Amino acid sequence: MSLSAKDKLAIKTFFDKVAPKAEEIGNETLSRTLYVYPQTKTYFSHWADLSPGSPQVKKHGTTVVKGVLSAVELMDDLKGGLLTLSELHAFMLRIDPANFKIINQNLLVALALMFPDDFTPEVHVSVDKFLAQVSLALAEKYR
Amino acid sequence: MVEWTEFERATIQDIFSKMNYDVVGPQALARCIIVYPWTQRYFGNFGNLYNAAAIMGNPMVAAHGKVVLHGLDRAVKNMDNIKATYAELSVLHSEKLHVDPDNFRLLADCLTVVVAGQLGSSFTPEVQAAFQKFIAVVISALGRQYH
Repeated sequence: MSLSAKDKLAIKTFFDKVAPKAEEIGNETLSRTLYVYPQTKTYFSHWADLSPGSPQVKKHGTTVVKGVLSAVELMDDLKGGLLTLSELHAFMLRIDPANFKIINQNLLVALALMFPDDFTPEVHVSVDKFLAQVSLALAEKYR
Repeated sequence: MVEWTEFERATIQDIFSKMNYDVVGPQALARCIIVYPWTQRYFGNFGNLYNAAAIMGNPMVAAHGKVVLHGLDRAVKNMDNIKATYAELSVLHSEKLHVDPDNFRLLADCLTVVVAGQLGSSFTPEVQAAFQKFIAVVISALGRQYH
């Protein structure tokens, strides 16, 4: 399920609109991930406040979404481009890759509610494919 | 038995009482068929499903989307006994329709995206959690009679 030229164009165009709202999207995505899938909170036991919209959630949500935005620029070689991030997730953070699907789903929900007119079904399928590829690239160094 | 908080009960009743079935049903099914094209295997007689535009405009997809969404009504009305309520539908999906239960999750994800698009910021994390829990219980009930 690799990205066609049509997918890449749809992704670039859509995320150009998303980029200015990275903080808001990041907050929505991570807040929902932690709240709707409480098992994900196990990775943040060192945070004081895990509730939706807390300062740490906002800050980290922004980091994650900015990572996704950087992957848009690296679409033609995700494995190479995301090598360092993959090593981080594999060796340092050791996040179970099953969680990539969870955060991806919540990112889609955040995009749907913040960009209802732009997040058409065609954009949805391209973004879903893209996020799956990003997840694969992030999982590359795990074993 | 599933335990529902007052908030969860109220949220589910609220979402479905305000639901525009004629919009959400068709959009959710169309989105599912577009985003997960292998689900088209179940709709061989629906005619033109060649591209997103065709799918969005297909009247059989729209009609069936409404049927599926209204299928959730019985769970909304019987939240304390969803398992038994869906026993018959579960047999139908398994024995007659031969639907891989994985597809329930795919459709559910698309339904969540459409509802989020409709409700915007009022689809808070708390509302999302209640909605997804409800859908998960329905999916579990629908998969129960498979063997």
